[in-house]
Amino acid sequence: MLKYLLKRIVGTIPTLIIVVTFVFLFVRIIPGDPARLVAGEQATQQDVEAVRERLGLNKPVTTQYITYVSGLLHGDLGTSLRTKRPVLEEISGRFGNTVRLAAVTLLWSAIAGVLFGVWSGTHRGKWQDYTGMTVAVSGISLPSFWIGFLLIMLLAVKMKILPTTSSSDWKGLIMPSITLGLGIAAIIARFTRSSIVEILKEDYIRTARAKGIREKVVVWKHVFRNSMISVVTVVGLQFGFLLGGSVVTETVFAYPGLGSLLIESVNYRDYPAIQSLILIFSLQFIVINLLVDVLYAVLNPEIKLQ
Amino acid sequence: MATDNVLEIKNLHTYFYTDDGVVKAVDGVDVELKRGSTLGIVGESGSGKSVTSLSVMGLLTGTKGKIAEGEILLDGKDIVSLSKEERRKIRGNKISMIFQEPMTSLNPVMKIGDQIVECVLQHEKISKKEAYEKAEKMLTMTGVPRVHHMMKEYPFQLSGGQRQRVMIAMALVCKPEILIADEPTTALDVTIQAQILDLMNQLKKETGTSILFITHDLGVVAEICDDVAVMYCGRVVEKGDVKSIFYNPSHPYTRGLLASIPRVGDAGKELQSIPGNVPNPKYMPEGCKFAPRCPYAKEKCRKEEPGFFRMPEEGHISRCWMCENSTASENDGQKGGV
Amino acid sequence: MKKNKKIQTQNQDRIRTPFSEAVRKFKKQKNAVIALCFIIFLIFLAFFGDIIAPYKINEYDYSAILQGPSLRHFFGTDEFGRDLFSRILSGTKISLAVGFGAVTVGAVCGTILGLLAGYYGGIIDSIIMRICDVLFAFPGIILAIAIVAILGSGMTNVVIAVAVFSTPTFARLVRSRTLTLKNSVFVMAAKNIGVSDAGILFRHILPGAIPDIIVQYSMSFGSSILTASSLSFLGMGAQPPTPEWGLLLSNGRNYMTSAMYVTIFPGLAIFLTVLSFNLLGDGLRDALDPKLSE
Repeated sequence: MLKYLLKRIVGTIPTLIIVVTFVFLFVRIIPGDPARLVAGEQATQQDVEAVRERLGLNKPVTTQYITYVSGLLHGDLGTSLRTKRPVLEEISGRFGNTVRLAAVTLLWSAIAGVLFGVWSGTHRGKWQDYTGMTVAVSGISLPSFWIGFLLIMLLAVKMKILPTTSSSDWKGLIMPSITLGLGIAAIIARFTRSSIVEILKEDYIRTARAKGIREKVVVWKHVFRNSMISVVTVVGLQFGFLLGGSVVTETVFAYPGLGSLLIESVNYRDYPAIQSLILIFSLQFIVINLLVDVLYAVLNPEIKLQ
Repeated sequence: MATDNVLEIKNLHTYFYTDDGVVKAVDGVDVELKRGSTLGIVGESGSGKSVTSLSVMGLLTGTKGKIAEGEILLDGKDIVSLSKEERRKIRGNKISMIFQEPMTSLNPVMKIGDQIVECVLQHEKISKKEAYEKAEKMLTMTGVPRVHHMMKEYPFQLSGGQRQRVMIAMALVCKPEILIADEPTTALDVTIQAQILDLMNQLKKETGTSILFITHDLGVVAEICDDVAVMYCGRVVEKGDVKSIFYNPSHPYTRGLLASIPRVGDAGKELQSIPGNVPNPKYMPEGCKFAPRCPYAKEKCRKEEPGFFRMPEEGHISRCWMCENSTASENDGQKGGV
Repeated sequence: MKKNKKIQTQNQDRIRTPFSEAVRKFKKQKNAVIALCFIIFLIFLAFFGDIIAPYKINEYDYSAILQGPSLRHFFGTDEFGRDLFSRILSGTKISLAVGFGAVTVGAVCGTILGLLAGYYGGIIDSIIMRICDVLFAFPGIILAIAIVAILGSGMTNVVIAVAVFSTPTFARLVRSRTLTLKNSVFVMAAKNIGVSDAGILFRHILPGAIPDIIVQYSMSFGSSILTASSLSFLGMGAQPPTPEWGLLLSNGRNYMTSAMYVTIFPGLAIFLTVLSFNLLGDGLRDALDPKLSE
């Protein structure tokens, strides 16, 4: 297993390098003069030159790249143009909120999605399957910002049981988490269902039934364990969807996380911040997928024992 | 003459209700398995032999198949009418089954030992430790090496032959009255095949289990079976003890199957085969189902389906018009059954 | 031998081509058929919506602002008194055009990349798949935001952004199909008789990948419309006064307490459109995937 994991970790290094390079090039491929962009439209030529000097844009690209990467390694993500504070500070202030939202959402949506999927898959072709999958296909088709508004109107405006804008306490997490998680739960449910349907056709399930094992045990011990191997992979990929969705959700609820920070930065053309946020988002995604690989190996004895 | 039949299948009809209409996979099968003996059910793929075995096991749930008519008597008691729960308690306990695909028939994420223990614990009220010992003892009987170690291994660490031995251990661990073996050796190498057949013969003697052996290979039948039922298109066309079938095959289909076994000394000769294919279940011919492929088919064969005719040997019957006058037989009529 | 032939003809059904078989299976799925009808209706609206619409999309009427749904204004009016029903009708063509443009570009690029990667393998495969990995490493909409941040807001840039992130999905799909087809007997045979690489790729391998591409196309169509409207909602896509659905919805949030319908109807339009494409995709998959038939 160690060998497998090492291979996986080493395998992400090229991806990491390309991601960092892309993010580095990001400001430089913006049409026009990046120094002018950073300095702002009203800036004088002198200001622009000062910015160029400060950002090192007058040096050769390779030098700039080395400076950028070594800055990253030292935790230097640049300075926000909007707040004039280090980007790292801006991000770390909000990082926890996004992680909390993502964790709560992933937890409930994975459980709900898997249960729905098992329910539909084990009743293939019956009304349970039909209901479950109709709900799921609706779930993946719902615009999350719309759900967010409907929830606000219903729970906050009409029923007044939750605050309209959210803070990071548990009450404030409820609506953003529902908004963000619906689509993910739906995708997980659809995938779990098709995986369950596939595994129910396997010969070893027939063997389990031939042994006279109770159907409940067949489903939860034999079918479920095996389907989770592939479902875990999908849950990992959904994490990317979740990070993306958090941008929209956080904006709808004015939730102080990385997603809303990204939108604020884009609106302000705060390129150092945008650059770093994109980097952070893809790093999270890469790390989560590594964790998924670990989980995959734990569930799959063929890899665990290698 | 009262023989002690551990299993009797009477007029079994198993139909598949597909979107394209009803497929009569098993259409009136009567066979009986004598206690302590081995009955071979022989036929090409699509003859309904596997569906017959799944009907006996009660494993049609999840497919579109259903027993439409007939009885399956286990020790004289019908099990078709039992509830799902009661049938489940019979599975793995009184009737168990091994399958054709040893490579995929074991759960890949469970240890071998746990898979056998699971079966014991489901049917017997004993402690986990006792169940584990029982499973280990049974696995030892199947002749696999380093049993103690293997109990803790996963299926992917075992060879095909070893996996089939595990399947046999799993099937016999609760001392069932009947073992259904559905082509258990087809997917294995020839040398391993012989070993598995020997093992089944040996365990049959040791445990007194009766075996229902499903195969398309008459060569295997000769090695292991006491009685044979030949199936074609969902019905039995000839049945008798293994000697009568091999020395005096009366149905042209049985003869065809026998002729297609390659023999030493036949080198250079063209290999015999039965022309044509099993008919599409949607376009079943009228009359004898084998008539379109039969070299002896006459007008009568194409119009009217024969019943069973008795052959000179005891218990040997055949569903062919040619047997009508071959002996002083009596026609049992369209329904068949003896 | 003669007898043999007779059996064969006897067994023959009315001719079942893969296509007629797929149509037959597709027709059995009511959901997908309804979805297809709705999509055809949407396409009709995309072409003739502006003609059918009772009002002009930019017809201001300050005497009737933020009025609820009525017979005069089916979906009510917005803060400038513009008829919401007409604006949503007119938005149909924007959403469909965005979905069509983005997914078609993504599918064509992805298919070509996938064919090349799968067929030639080696270094080409490594490079293409590595690029796909990197694109996958940016969670969907974030990549789109990054691209829009570089190129600037606007619908054209949204289409480009969505096309970029739907490309790797198609590339992976086509690549894996190509890998299996590459070693099939008929491709070997074509190679042996000297068919050119291009001939093999486009005449022998591509048709085998078409079912996968069609299914993915329909699914991507739905999610692209969703992403594009999200971007507009975030202020990075369509700009006012375009009647883009996401933008209409975003506009409605200012009147959430007083005029709920301004957010409800555009959302419903997005939901139903995306749902139809997803249902169509599901139906196509069940009709085209030989693995699912029993």
